[in-house]
Amino acid sequence: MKTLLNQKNLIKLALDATIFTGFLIAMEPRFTGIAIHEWLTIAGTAAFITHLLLNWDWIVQITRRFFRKVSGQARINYVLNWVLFVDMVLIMLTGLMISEVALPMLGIQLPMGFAWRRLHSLTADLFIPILGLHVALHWRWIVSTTKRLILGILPVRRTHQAAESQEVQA
Amino acid sequence: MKTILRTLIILAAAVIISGIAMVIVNHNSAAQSTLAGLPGEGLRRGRGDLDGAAPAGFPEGRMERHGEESSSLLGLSGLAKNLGIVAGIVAVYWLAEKLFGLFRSKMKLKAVGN
Repeated sequence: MKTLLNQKNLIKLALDATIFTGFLIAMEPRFTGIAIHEWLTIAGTAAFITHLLLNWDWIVQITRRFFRKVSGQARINYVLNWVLFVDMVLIMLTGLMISEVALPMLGIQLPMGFAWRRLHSLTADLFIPILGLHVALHWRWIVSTTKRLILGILPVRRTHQAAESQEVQA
Repeated sequence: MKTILRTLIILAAAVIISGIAMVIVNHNSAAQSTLAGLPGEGLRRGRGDLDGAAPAGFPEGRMERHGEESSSLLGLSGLAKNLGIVAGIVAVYWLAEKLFGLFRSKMKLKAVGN
């Protein structure tokens, strides 16, 4: 059971690190070029959905208990995750609406929209600070999981903090 | 089966958000075109849109677009900036949490002392 839990955490950590690195690179189209920017983000959507599926139990748990007994940090985390989700969806949508490579390659040509371009820039600018907050809220989990699963330095310690960080993980 | 259902729920949420965004953007565009004339919507996009006469500040003859060309130095600095923002937020949060923890334990000690 313990091994399974560790394996799940390891998968989560690896996936999260991949998503983080991928989006950080994709968020800088001057570095990647527009084609990689578009395709990497589209591919990232699948990884993002997997991330949500892996944390589904937490989402359901907090959704059910949101107006009842939930720690303040978990509540903030839940709201922030929704903001991040909405922002992500808007980035994807506006990105597709102004796509220059991916959609034309599929034979889809959309009319030019300055509003979509503006919204794409705005949501993309918002994404980085929200992502920073998301990482910050999970920092304890990231550190403890890295220590336990990758480095194997410290034994599992069920302190109050560890229990709390497990509660807020998403 | 469960995974498919959950994926469909996520996609449905995304579709609802997208629908709302599309309605708002289209509504605003329509309002803008009524108030200020042609907003630029409806034009076909070419490979390198906004080509034409050089606007002020863009001597190359085209306005700046995101992802215009891959420029490693600019891109790397942007990448570093984004990473820096994330790291900065994490550091500030971590520090704030530590300080708050210290403050709370001090207050507790004070309360016990009294």
